[in-house]
Formats: sequence, C-alpha cells, structure tokens
Amino acid sequence: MNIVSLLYLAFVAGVALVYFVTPRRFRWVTLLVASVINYLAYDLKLAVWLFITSLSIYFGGLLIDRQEQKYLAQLKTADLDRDGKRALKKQNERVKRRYAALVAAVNIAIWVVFKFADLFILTLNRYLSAEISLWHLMLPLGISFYTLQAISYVMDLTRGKCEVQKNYCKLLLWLCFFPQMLQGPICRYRETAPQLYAPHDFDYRRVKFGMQRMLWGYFKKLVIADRVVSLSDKIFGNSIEYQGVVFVVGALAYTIQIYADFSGGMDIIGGAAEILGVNMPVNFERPYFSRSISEYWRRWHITLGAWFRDYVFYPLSISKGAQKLSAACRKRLGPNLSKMIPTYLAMVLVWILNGIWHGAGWQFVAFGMYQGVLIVLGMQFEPVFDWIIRRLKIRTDCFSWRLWQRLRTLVLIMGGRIIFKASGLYEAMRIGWSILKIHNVWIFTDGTFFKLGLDAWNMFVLFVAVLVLLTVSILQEKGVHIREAIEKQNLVFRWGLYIAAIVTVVLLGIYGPRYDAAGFVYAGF
Amino acid sequence: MDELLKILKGICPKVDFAKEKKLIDDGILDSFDIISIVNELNEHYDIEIDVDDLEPDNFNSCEAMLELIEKLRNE
Repeated sequence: MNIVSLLYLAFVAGVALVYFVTPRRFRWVTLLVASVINYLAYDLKLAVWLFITSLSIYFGGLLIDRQEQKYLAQLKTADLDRDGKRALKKQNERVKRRYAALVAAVNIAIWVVFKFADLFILTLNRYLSAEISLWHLMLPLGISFYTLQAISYVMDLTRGKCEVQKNYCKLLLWLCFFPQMLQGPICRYRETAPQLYAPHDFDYRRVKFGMQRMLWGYFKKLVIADRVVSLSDKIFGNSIEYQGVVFVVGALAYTIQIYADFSGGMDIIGGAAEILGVNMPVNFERPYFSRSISEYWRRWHITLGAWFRDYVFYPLSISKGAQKLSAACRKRLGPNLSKMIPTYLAMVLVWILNGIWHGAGWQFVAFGMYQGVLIVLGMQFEPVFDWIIRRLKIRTDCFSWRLWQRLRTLVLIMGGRIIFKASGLYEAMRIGWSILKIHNVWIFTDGTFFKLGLDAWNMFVLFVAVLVLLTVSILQEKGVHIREAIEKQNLVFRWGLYIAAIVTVVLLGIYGPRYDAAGFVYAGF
Repeated sequence: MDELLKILKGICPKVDFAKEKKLIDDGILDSFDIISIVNELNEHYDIEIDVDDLEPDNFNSCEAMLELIEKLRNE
C-alpha cells in the first residue's frame, strides 16, 4: 500500500479504530494482523522472505538465550576462580557470537542475492564471456531495512542489550510493523518492541499530533519533493544536453528533493505510528544545517548511521586485528597516526558498505568513499585548519562563520548527490568537470532556467514551499516545538492553519502517474 | 580521577571533561573520540573494553568512565 494514497489514510484510520476498541491485551495482535495484511497486499510470494528472516532471528534468538542461561547456571554451580570465570565468560561470548554471525550471514546472503545477482551475472558475462541469463529478481519490500533490523536483534541479544522474545508473533510484529516497512527507520528491539506490545489508549492530543506530523510529511513529499523531481530528473536524465551552472541547479534540486522525499516519508510513517502510540526513532535532525560532513551524517538517516557505527565500525575499530595493525604501523608512522590508521580504515570500509547498501554499482561505492575520504581528511587536517584560523585571526564565534561552515558543507553534500544521481561514475565526473569549467550564469536570464522542467509558476510554488520548510527548520533548530506552539494558539488560528495546510497539499501537491510504491527514493533501496 | 582527566584532555583538548555530564547524549564526543578514548584507556589501565561496553551510559562523564575502568579491573 502506497503511503501517499487515500487508501493508506483509510487503512491507518481503520487500524486505529479497530486498535482502540480491541481489548487491551490483544491490541498488539491488531497491529500484527494489520502489518501482515499490509505486507501481503504488496506481494504475496515475496512475503516468504520476510517470514524466513523472522524465523531465522526467532530461532537464533532462542539459541543465544539458551547459551546465556547455560552460562549463568555454570557460573552459579561451578567453583571457579577469577581466571576460570573470565575464561567461561569468553567462551560464552564466543558461542553466542557464532550463533549471531550465522543468522547475520543467512540474512545478508538473501539480501545480496536479491540485490546483486544481476550485477554479478553481468560482470561474469562481460569479463569471462559467459552467457548467463539475468535473473531479474523482484526485491522483497523493505528488505534492505528489515535485514539490518533483524541483524541488530541477534547482535543486541548477544551483547546482553535486549531480552529474548519467545513469542514468534510478537517478534514478527516488531520486524514488519506496517508504517515503517517501506523505508524504515531501522528500529532497535529494546526501544520499539515494548511500545508495540504495550496497550495504548486513545489519546486525543497524541492522535492530533500524529495527524499533524503526517500532514507535514505529505507537504514535504507532495508539494516539494514531487515538484522538484521534474527539475532534477530532467537535468540528470538528459545530462548530455546541459553544462556548467545547469548542473549546479540540478544538484541543488536533487539535494532538496531527496531530503523532502525521505524526511517527508519519515514524517508520514512517524505520524501514523504516533497515532497508534508508538514513537519511531528520529531519522533526521535538519541535516542541511550541519557544519561538517561528519555532523551531517549524524543528522541524516540517523538510524542507518547508528547501525553501521554499532555493528561494523565499533567492533572493527577495537578488534584485536585493529590493535595488531596499529602496533605494526607504529614504527613507520609514529604513535599518533598509527593509532588512527585502523579507525580510518574501518571508517572507509563502513562508508563503502553504506554506499553499497544504497545500490549495486561502482558509483555507489564511489559515493560512500567520497563521504569517508572527506571525513578522514577533515579530521586529519583539523589542526592545520585551526592553525590557519589562528594565524588569520578569523572570528569563529559569530553567525557569518557558522554560515560559511554550513554553506561549505552543503556544497560538499551536493558533490555527493551528483555521484549518487548521475547515470554512472564517468558521467558524475563529467558533470563535476563541467561545473568547474563552464560558468554559464546567464541561464537565469536567457529563459533556460524555466525550461529545465518547471515553469515559472511551479518554480514560484517550489520557492515558497522551500521557504516554509526552511523557516520551520530554523524554528526547530532554535528549540521551538512547532506542534506545542500551535496548540497554544486560539481556535480560529489553529483551524485556519490546519485547513490552509490541507488545502495547500490538495491543491499544490503534484498528483499523477508517479504515485506508485516506488515513488519514494529510499523505498527503492 | 586526575589521571583520567589528563588522559582525556590529551585526546580531546577542547572538551571540559570535569564539567560535562552528557558527553555522548549531547554529541560532544563522536564515535572517533570514543574509539581513541577506548584505545588509550585499554593501553593505560591494561583493561579490555569490549564492544558490549560501548554504551552512552559508560562514556557520558568522566565519573562513568572511571566506574567502567574499575568494573573491568575487578572482573
């Protein structure tokens, strides 16, 4: 079910209605039934993969828990000294990690086959002159999201950060809760699961806030993202026809589009969940206000970044292998750099994986590496930048400095967007070179600007809508809670605002054949 | 405590470790800082901070880190 459809709104309303009248102890069952219906409605056959994943983490979880219980019993009964206890603990962790690794491997293998089989076959055909037919596999809905979520469950269980779930149906609900199935956020069991199982009563304020958040999401998606998409699609889809500043417009358009699209989707999802009493984890914190690339990635797709940090970056960075590498580098690179080398390598690997997660192709690897290299360079040269700032006596405690940092970061983000959106790596490099070489600023005055996919009226609507988004973001950045602030206003103002927002979305939203489930950029991952 | 403060100051000179109580929750330390701190503490105190210990609660303040060090030393 497309979350940008009247059917979805009716579905959420229907589920909420049934949920609040269901006896309290069965309310989670209502959510489960709704979630399973929602998933089966997308694709009956591909749903089998979701069930395989859920079964794998269910049985994996039980095995990990059994091992933990066995360890605790041994600890109680066996008369062990300190070293003995330490050895037993290590052995317990080893066994639990093996189970978790097995579950993770099964699920990653499924994901890799679905996502990369055709790329692998194409590579074989090209370089080994093989003639293997492509598989053309349909990606199970939300597989890139629920696979990571599933792995996080067994990993957290191994680390003792969550309790085992012995009821398969409850675990399945956590994995396929219907609002988040399409594009995340990637939830952690210990944060979301208790909310799903607890019975929530009808709360007018919470339902109202949820609906408001959904409306805001529809505004971002329909009025901004689906309007600006014409601009970015036309420029990047026909890039051979354009040059120079047109690509700057395209990169900016795509930067706006992907944020409005993804964060708008998160607002719709988060709002629907809020109506049902479930708070989804925050996935965006106004990322374009970031003053460095590393800050940007702490504010953009937060749950994905946190997943890679907790399950790839941390374990790699403090592993025995990292310590050995650091020791091996010490003689040649000195104590400071040798300590950082394993961390830098782990980070670049994380960014390559992050790129691959987004798609099959070298340009996504390049996209990930671009981010990783920027962060490493930023860190390594920080003392040099500090020295320049001191020497030139630049004031850093003022608005103009913060603005410069934000604009600089935005330009770097746009560079990444070009790699992401271009039809290939070579094309991305050609676009970058064209921007550096050709400065055709006259496109804004010779009429070219309004022939890039949006006419003057739509350009105006887009401008005003982005201005509204910017104003709201600045207020949020200053700590203003918009919904609470609206709540304090008079009835006439409040309802005037609601009606204006609904009318804006209905009249100025872009409606057309684009409205299929794949309409969201991140749903395609 | 003073010894730990000195180590931490050496890694992140701009952070006031004696005062800050929400080093992770407020985003004062990032994941790179955490890894640097972990490596330094492992080496200096001859302990083994595991990935399971990388919880915000263990790194939010200097006191919390000291508590973690003590716990790992006594294990």
